[in-house]
Amino acid sequence: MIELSDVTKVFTLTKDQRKIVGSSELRPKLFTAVDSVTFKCDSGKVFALIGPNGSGKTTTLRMISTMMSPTSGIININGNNTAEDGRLARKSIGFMTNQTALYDRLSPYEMVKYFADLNSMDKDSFDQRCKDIFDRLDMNSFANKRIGTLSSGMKQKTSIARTIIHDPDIIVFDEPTTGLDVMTSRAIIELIRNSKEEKKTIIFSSHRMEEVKTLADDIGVIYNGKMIFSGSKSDFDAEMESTSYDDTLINLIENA
Amino acid sequence: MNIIFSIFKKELTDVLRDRRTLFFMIVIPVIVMPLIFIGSIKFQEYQSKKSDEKVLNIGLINKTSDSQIRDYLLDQKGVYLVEDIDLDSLELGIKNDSLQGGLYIHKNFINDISANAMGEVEVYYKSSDLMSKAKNRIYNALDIYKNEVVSERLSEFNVDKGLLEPLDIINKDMSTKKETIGKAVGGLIPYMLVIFIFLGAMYPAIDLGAGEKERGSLETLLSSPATKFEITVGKLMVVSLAGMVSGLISVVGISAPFYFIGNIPDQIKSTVLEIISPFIIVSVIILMIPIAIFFASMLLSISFYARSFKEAQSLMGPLNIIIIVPLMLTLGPGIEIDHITALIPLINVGLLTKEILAGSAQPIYFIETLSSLLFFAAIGIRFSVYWFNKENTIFRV
Repeated sequence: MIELSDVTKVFTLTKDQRKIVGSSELRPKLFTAVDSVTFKCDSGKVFALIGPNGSGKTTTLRMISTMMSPTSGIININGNNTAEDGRLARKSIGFMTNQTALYDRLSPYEMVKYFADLNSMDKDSFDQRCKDIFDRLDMNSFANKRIGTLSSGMKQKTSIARTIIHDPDIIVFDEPTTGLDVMTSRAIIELIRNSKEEKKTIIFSSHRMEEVKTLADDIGVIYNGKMIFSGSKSDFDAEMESTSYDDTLINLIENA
Repeated sequence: MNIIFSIFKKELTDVLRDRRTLFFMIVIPVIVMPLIFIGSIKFQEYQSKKSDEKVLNIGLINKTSDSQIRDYLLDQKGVYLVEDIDLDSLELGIKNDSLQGGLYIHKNFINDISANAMGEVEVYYKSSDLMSKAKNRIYNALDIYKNEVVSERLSEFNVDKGLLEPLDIINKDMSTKKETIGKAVGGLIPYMLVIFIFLGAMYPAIDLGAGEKERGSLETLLSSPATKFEITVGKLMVVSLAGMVSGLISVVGISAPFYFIGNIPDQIKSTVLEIISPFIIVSVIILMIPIAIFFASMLLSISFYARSFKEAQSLMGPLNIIIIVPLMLTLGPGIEIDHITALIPLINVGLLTKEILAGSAQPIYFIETLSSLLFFAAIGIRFSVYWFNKENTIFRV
């Protein structure tokens, strides 16, 4: 379970960033990327975080994964405050982006083993889990080839295996299908579905509203760092004045 | 500790499979170093031989009837005299390099010499022509003539030669061959060593920091249970090791020519091989460890800051100069290791290595240098960890 209470993230801007953000007269030193955000993702549910570029989705997901610390507010992962024990929180998290984020000079087996080691998995558990995943994802034929020589589909499978090797309770996806072809996107969507069946907590950010419609149980709309909508998919449907999720999102943003 | 070891193991595997890193870490020190070393020795030999054997055209304008200086000039090896020319042609010839030197003997020269006065001669040459030995050859001939005249004059006045040479200086050089060679080449070895530690550490540092950012793998690594401290230390260990290996290999590269070049005099060869003893190698390795850690921490910090591989490379470029300058200072004369210089990083390595190679290093300076290097290495590690913990650094856009 993921729980965010009044979470805010403020960045100190560099000189160059100030020029981009503010006018020449008004160059703010601070930038609030996430502003008093509160929401909850329950186990076995899929939470979709949507909003335009630069709205604060990635920063929110990075704070959930403890890569960044919130300036204020509390994030609980399975009941543990991430500010108190980040390592414990990270042990129950798998993180994935649309970039495969792999090391070209390692093999898929070495890559997955590395993340198993970082998660302090013992040899027997790793061997069993690795075999299951490699069988399920049909990875055995390329398990020992260098990642740099693999196709994008094979790389994506390796990335999935790396994310779930330690059997995390929570999986965080940051725009997982952006820029990917249909086949590769499908593998990720399958992963989200399977993880939901395994009663895991899933949060993902996306620009693809069809994906949100298909996968999400709960939806959060973030705009300019503020959560302007948070509720179940049926609540979101109720907000709809048109038949399109895209139009509903735009309406919510325009009315914010 | 297990997590640090896992990161170390993975990064080491990754680095050892990177051709670019291997090239800088192993190929350059092993192949390029001996080639540069052997090449420069051979080139110098060739140039020196060429210069010695080169026949120089020397213009001679002799306004006297005496031919003694002319004869002495002709006795010099590699001199071809161009005579019957006027002063303008002599000057023009030197300017356009058809003549390498010239001698003008004035009309009254013999009369002045005979009158026990000073005879006037003019020597023409180009100081910019470094390879030309025309001036030396003319001076040699003139010296022979001068000594002869002085002897004649002294005997004419019944004066003993000792009157003009009151001192009989007998040089007693107390340096051992090891000291002489150690101090001479001792400056070069730390110079090469430090440069190669830096170069060997540079590419792994870029790959493990900025490269990781560029691949997007830094985010997934940060979302693992590894702490930022563990990630930094694991990576630092690999970068430091790469630097140390590169440094060690460069020492092998420098010493290899002494085994393979045939025409190095046996005495020099045996002295150099005596210098490269296990004790000296161990001492230098001990000094290398903190240098490599310090470089690794600086390079990794820059790499964490850079947005891309390219940016990291351009940020690291100026560091080369910062490293080279203090080492260059140690190559010059007059700077010795003392209680102050032993505390200044890089300068202390340069000076102490010279002393170690000459066999004259004092333990107190070794301890001071090592303490100073360890102190800076510790600061480097602390800074890297602090730097990697800064969100503005690792998520810099």
